[in-house]
Amino acid sequence: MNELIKSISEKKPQFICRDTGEEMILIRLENNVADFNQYLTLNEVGAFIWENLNEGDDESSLTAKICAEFEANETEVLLDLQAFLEKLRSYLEIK
Amino acid sequence: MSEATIHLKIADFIFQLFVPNNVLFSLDCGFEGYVTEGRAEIGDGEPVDLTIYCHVGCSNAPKIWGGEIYSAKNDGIALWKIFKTHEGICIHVNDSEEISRLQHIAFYQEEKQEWNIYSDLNESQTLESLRYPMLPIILYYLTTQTSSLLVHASGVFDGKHGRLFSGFSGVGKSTMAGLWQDSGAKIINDDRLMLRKIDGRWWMFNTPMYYSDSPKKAPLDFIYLPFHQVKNTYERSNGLEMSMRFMAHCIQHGYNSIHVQRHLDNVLNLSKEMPIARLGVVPNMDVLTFIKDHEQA
Repeated sequence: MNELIKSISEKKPQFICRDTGEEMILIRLENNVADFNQYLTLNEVGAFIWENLNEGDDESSLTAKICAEFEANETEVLLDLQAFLEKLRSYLEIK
Repeated sequence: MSEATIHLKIADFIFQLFVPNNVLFSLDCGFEGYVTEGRAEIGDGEPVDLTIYCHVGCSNAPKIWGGEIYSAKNDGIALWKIFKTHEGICIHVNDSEEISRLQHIAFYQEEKQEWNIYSDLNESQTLESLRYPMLPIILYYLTTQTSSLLVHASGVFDGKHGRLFSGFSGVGKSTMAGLWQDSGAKIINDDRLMLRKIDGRWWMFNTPMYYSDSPKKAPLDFIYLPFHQVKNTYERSNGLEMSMRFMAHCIQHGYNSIHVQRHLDNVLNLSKEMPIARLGVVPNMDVLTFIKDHEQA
């Protein structure tokens, strides 16, 4: 999972994250082309993870950040985090 | 060297051009109606939005550009290329009719909203600093700094509502504009529009094209994404999806994520202020009634 977090952090500059008012959207910007047909919507927690996921983070540091922000149960957060990171793996085309 | 000053008013933006006096200078027929007689006609209180210094000769351009950051290609051949400079960007623009020939070297300083354009004289020994595709490039960079968008679309105004039909070639933009014109509406343009938010309201404007047309402006109330269909259909289910579909028709150079973000913000603002709908179209007059019925629903 920590390898995945590292890969996601490396890919972040290729994506634009924007607040639509109700949700956040991620748009791929690759080879000077923004792909508006392939966007990902993020809820409040997903947007927080995206914005706070940095190089050097690992599963436990991210879980701690989320728990601190949302006052959530650590076990549940970890499961949700893993599921969300897998979703990002698919969207960001990380093998 | 003495210079003449020319003012243009395009999409309610005021351009001030400084042109050398020792050469013939021309703007093609598409600019008719956009050239103002003088500062007084614009209004002394209105600020200049963009300053353009026109120079003779690409070879006179200072060689201050760095690495290439973007290339606009047509059939694999670059029509224009963007390079970094210390103070902004430099664009090398080739002649659209003789693509191997360099036509302009243009420098843009975003903070000053200032262009310096070095152009080779044409076959008539005339300076054409805004010759295609220079003006659309300049207009594009205006949209990166203001609440505005350039979009592939037709726009019509029936005296009450402004409607925009956006899409790639062949979806029926011009057909829809023609149908509305037959019903008495005014066509703003049937191919490219500039959209601007002014004093809290979105407007659509035409801009100089390759043919002569007077400047036009109308409020914008409805956005449609037409496609050919066996019967008329209307779809407005997912607002975000419609916004993204519309965004795909806006003119943009994707190399600068800040510019893309700004355009995205403008599209999201538009989508909050008016409906964006997919429109299956049978191209006859019945579709006009169909559209109006959905607008009133």
